Amino acid sequence: MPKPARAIQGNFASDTIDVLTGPDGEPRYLLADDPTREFSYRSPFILELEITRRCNLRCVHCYAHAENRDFGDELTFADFCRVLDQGRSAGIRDLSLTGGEVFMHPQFFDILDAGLARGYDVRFVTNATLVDEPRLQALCARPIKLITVSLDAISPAVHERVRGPGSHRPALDGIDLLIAAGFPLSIITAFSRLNIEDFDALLGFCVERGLTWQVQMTSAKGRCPRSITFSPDEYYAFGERVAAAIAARPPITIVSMDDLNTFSLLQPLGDLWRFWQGLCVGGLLNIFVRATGEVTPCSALAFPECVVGNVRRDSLAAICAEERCRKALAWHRPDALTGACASCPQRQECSGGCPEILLCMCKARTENEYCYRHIEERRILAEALGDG
Amino acid sequence: MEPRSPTLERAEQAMKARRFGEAIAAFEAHLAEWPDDVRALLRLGLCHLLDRSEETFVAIHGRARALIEGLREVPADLARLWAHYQQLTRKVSATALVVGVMALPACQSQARAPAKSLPPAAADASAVAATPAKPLPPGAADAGVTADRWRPHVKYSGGVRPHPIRPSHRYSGGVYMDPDFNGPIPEF
Repeated sequence: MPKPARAIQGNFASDTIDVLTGPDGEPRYLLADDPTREFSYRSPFILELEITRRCNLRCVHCYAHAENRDFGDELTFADFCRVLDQGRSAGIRDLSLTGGEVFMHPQFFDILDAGLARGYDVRFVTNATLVDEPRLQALCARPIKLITVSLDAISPAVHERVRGPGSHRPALDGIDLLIAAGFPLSIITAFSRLNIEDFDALLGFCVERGLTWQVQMTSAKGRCPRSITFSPDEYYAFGERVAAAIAARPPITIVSMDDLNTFSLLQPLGDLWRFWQGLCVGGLLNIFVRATGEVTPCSALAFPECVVGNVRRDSLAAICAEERCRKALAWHRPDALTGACASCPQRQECSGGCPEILLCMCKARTENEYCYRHIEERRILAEALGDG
Repeated sequence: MEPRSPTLERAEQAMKARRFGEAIAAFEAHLAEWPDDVRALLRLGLCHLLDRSEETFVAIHGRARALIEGLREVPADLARLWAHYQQLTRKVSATALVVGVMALPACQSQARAPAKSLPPAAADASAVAATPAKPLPPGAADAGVTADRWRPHVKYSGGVRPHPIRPSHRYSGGVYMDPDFNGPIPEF
């Protein structure tokens, strides 16, 4: 009987970063265990590489319009190697591979090896449905810092409502294989009206298995229809559930993504604000290269107006050196805010919140309706003045 | 009967327009003349809450309670507003509690290692300047990073504990606190 595959343990650099204020009063990002490493737009923390848009699933909310077909215009293995070299030149040492579905790329393991050979700490995102014994054996031979699995529900019907027929069982089987092999694993769930009913079941699933759980709101981009996304009031209720789950101190880490980390006057919701880092860190802690070669500050900012270059013609190192991501996000600043955001006492520290939400969920990019304080203010004024 | 005055009208208009500082001044002027106007008092409190003066908001709760308890009859609209205020007070008090807990020196002992030790929590924004620089990890000095040059970022001052973050990206890892963080998350 063959011995079960076991993941080899890598010697990975810490992920923990201290946010400090430098002598100039600006926030600075230093690796906690090695403050000689400082992250900036010139040298971000992590390179996110979308290696393909090909995917065996066709999720209703996919930002990348991924599906099982040949997109034709994607970067080659040689392109990826060049980008990886340029990323290292910019001082980047962490790499995240994403898709589409990474296992649908015929050279996934070659790309992974190319990253490892260049000294990157490598992680990747997968739907886990294609994790079989041969792939598991291949993964086990490589040091992987983190595998993140997209899982949108525990109920098969709910999961498949989002990710399509036949997607549920293979995902759970894949997760079980990865856990059994000893990989560091996290689950990521994008919540919408389609799967919010499974919130507690997902939390229980992650707690049972000791998995980190990343939660975020599905936003109306890519092929995601607006009709399945939350209204601001639904967003508020969702945030309350996440905050309550964290406040209950579960034995796992719950990661609320930036779209959830707006300011609230009230507890426990107000606790999520601690996760907001004072500004959007797109381009500063992470930089995203799409399979088309386009570069954006963050995978969440995969909008045409956020494209800062294309690695087919621009060097990634030059894009970083020229701080193009900072310039692309120059509109995201406190003095540009309007409406309720303009008069908010918190505006200097949030600048309106996550730019992705401003760009695809709000009426204007200068006023965030998906902000707890904004919603609380609206409700308080309606109650106090009776005109709600 | 709710006492009406041009000052009260001005206060309400300012509140509606989210000019909370102006609304506070007008409500206070009105209350100087009509100290028993509970509705105006509650609206004043709500303006303080929206203007980030949680302590005043909570303090007004006590004044309003005394006035309401003295009423022979509480009109439905006032009862509703009072219920809303009470509900908000409970949730805001939790915030005040968190800040209070963070101010306790004992919390600093929760730091897991010298590199993570906390500066004394600042009770308010004015205390930021007095917040000692964060001790830096070993090796920092070699890199020319000296403790007196670096302070916790302003976001994490003013009573909010600075914490290390673990950045990654939206689809893999997220940005989250140090898993060893054992800070004052309120329990409910």
